[in-house]
Amino acid sequence: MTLEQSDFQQLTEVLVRLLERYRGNPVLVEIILSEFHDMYRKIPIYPGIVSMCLEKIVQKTDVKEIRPEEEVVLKTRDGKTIAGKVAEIGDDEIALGEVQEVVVVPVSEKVRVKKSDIVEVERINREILRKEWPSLDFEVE
Amino acid sequence: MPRLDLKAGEVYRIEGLISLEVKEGKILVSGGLREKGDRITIPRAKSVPLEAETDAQIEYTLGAGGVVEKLPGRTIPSDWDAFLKEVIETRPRVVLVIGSVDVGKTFLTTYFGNRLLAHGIRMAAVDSDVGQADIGPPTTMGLGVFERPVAQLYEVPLRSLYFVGSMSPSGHMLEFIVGMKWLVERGLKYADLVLVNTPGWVAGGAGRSLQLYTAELVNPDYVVALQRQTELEHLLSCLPSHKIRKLTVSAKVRKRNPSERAELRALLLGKYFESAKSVVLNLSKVRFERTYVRTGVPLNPEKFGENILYAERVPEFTILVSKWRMSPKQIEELAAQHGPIKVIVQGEEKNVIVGLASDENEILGLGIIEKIDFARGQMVVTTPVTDVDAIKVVQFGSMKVTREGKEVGTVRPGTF
Repeated sequence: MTLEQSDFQQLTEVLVRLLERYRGNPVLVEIILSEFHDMYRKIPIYPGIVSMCLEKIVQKTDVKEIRPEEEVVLKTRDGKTIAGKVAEIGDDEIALGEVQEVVVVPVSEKVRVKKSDIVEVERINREILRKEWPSLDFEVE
Repeated sequence: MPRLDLKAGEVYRIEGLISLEVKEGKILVSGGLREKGDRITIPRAKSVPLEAETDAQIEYTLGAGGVVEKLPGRTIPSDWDAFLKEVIETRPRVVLVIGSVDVGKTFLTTYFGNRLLAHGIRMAAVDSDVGQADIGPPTTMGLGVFERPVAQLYEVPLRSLYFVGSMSPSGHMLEFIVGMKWLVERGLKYADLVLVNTPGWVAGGAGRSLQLYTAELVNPDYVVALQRQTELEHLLSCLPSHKIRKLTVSAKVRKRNPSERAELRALLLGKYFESAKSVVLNLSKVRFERTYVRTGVPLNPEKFGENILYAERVPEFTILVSKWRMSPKQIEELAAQHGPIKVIVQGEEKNVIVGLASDENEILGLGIIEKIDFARGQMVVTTPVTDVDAIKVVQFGSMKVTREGKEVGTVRPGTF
C-alpha cells in the first residue's frame, strides 16, 4: 500500500515541509511549534485539520499589506529577524510593539564554561536511526 | 549410516542438518506421525522434537551442525495436548493464537496441524508473520492446509496469499485486518478448522488494536494465549473469558535477534526471486491497486512542461511524472495554475515490491518494479510468475527490495 492510511501522515509531511522552509528562522519555527502544540492539545483526534491549519500560520505578504495590530515577522537587509505586533504604520517606517529579535551568530572559536556555572546538560545523540536500526538506515535523496 | 533404537515414550531433539528414515515402528516429529519407510530432512539451524510413539528404529545421516540429543522428557507442555483433546471433542471452526515474539507460535501451529491430522481433522493455518513467513514469501500473509504430516511449518502446501507489501504490520493495519479475514474465509472452504497465527505485536495502542480488532473480526471459537508470564493479560481482559485458553510456552523455544531476523528475511526473499525473470505488463490490461496512480483521468502532459511525461487528474490532486526532480518553487508555480500537484520523479518506482494478482485478487506471486514507462503504457517487473497473461492486478507495496532480497528503502506513504 502506498496510500496514506491516516491523516497523521499528512501532519508529519506538513511539519517536515515547514521545518525545511523555516529552519533558518528560529522565530517562525517557535511560533509554528507553539501553535501546533496548542492545536494538537485541543483536537488530537483530527490531525488532518491540525495540518491544514499549520500551513496557514505563516503567510508571505507585502509591506504594503501590513495592517496595525497584526503580528508579523520581518527580515531586514542587515540580516536581522524581528518579530512583533504592528503598533503604527508611517510613510517610511513601521513601529512594532512586543518586539523579539533573534540573532543567530555562528561561533567558531572555543567557548569556555565554568563547570560551576552549568545547571543542566543535554547530551545530543545524532544519527540515532543508524545506531539503533542500522538495517533501516536507507540512502535517500 | 548410524542407527538409533528408540523405546516407546523416549524423546529426542534433532537439529539440522539431518536426514533420517524410519526403519521400524512409529515416531512423532513435531507431532506428525511417521512410519516405516518415511524419510525426513531437517535443514540447518532448525530444531524439532522427535518422540517414539512405539518402540522404533531410525537410520540417520548428520550434516553440518546436525545434532541428535536425548531429552529427559517431553518438551511439549501437557496443556497443549489437553487443549487438542478439547478441540477434537468440540470441533471449533476458528482458533486464534496470540503471543509475543519468540514464544513458539509457529511450532504450536505445526504441532496442532499434525496432531489434528492424525485424528482426521484437516487444519488450515493463517501465517501472519509478514517479515519471515513460513507459509508464503516475506511481505505476504499465507494460508496453508495440512494435508500430510510436516516437520516444519514451511512444508505445509500454500493455498492462498494476501499481499501486505511490508515487513511489519506497522502502517499496514488495514491490509492486516482485511487479509486476516480474507484468508480465514478461504481456509474455512478448504479445511475443518482454521488456526490464525497473529503477529507478536501485543502491546501499545497499535498492537492492542491489531490483536483486538482481529479477534473481533474473525470471531474465533477459542483464543489461545501463549504467554511466558502475564504479557497478554491486558488483551485477555478485553476478550470473552469462556473462549480463552492459556497455554504454556514450550521450554525449547529459540529466540532470534533483530539482525538474525533481517538476515533470514533477505534469505527468504532472495530465494523467492531466484528464478525470477523480467516481464513486460501492458498497462491497459492490468489495474493498479493501493496507489493513486492510474485511478483518475489522463491529461495532456505537454501543458505542464517539457519535463512532464505523464499527467493525470485524481480528486485529491494532479499527478505529474517528471523526468527530473522539480524544485519546490516550480511545483508551487504549477500548483498556483492547476491546483494541488503531486510530482513523481521518473525512476522513483524502481525496486518497489508489488503483489501480482488475478482479476479476482488471488495473488499469483510477487514482483519488483524495474520501470514504469507511462508514455508507452508499459511496466517492467522482475517476477517468478510464469503465466504473465494471468496477471490482471498490480498491488503496490511499501518496501523497496532487490532480487537478492536486500531491503534498500521504503516508500513514503502517498508517493504513488
